[in-house]
Amino acid sequence: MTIEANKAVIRRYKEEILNSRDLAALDVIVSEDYLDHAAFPKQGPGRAGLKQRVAYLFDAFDPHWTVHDIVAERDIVVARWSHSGIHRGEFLRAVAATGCAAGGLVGGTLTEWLGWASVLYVNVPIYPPPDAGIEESRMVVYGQLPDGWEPPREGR
Amino acid sequence: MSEQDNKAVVRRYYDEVLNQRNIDLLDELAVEDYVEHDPFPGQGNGLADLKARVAGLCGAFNPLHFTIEDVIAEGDKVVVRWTNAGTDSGGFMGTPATGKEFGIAGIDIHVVRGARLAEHWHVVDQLAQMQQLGLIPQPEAAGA
Repeated sequence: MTIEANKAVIRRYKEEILNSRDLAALDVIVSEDYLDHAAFPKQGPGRAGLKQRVAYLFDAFDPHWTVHDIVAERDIVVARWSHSGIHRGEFLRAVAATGCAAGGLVGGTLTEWLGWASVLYVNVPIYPPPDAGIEESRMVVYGQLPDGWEPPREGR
Repeated sequence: MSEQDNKAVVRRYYDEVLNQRNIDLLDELAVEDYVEHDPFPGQGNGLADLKARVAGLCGAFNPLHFTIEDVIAEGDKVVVRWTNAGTDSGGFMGTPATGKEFGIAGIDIHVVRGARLAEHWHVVDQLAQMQQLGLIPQPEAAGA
């Protein structure tokens, strides 16, 4: 696989498969013994665990991913991405996250997850900065919010 | 400049500027019109603001040590996956010093032009850092 082909796998994973919630497609592009170095708590091993992880994200946040940049060398691909969504749990608030992800690729399948991708979520009630409103809380987020992103109104 | 040369410039930033606290080395390692895509609050573009950012980190955390876990380069971009360990000895961004230790991970993306750092993006696990410093509660302890 060339570097460009590896990049295409990661772009497809983030922008097509995740955004269309196509869990079945993960059988094609993810190896069965996929290794996640930054697993969620209680995430199971392998491809099945990855499916569990993304299904959790779909349910919790209904997120949409955007890839802003891709850098690759050898079998490692780094994507700079952002996602935005709505926290659909007990609190109905907006979250946005940015991340860098490093995925290892062997033979065109996603084999490893080397990076972590979690930053402070914006305005999640569990982690309000002291006495901060939305404008101030955005300042504690390292990374860029998606273009045009606005916090939804209370009770939306 | 080859990708290997660019990696060497970036390694000096972690080894010498950050770990050895040689902030003035940035005069040699970074361009005057440095572009910061993920600024600290109040940070603008330019070399002077980059130096102020690093001075802020060094002032808040001593000791502070970055370990480079992986370096990935393509074209003029160099990506570094790092971990760091430090002690909140001086207080970060206006918070009082806690004296507590932390260990977190992050990923930086640098653009290197003419053997100098020119642009930067990053994502850092600051949630874990703030939890480890006791500045925000652990999820289990946070009441709904």
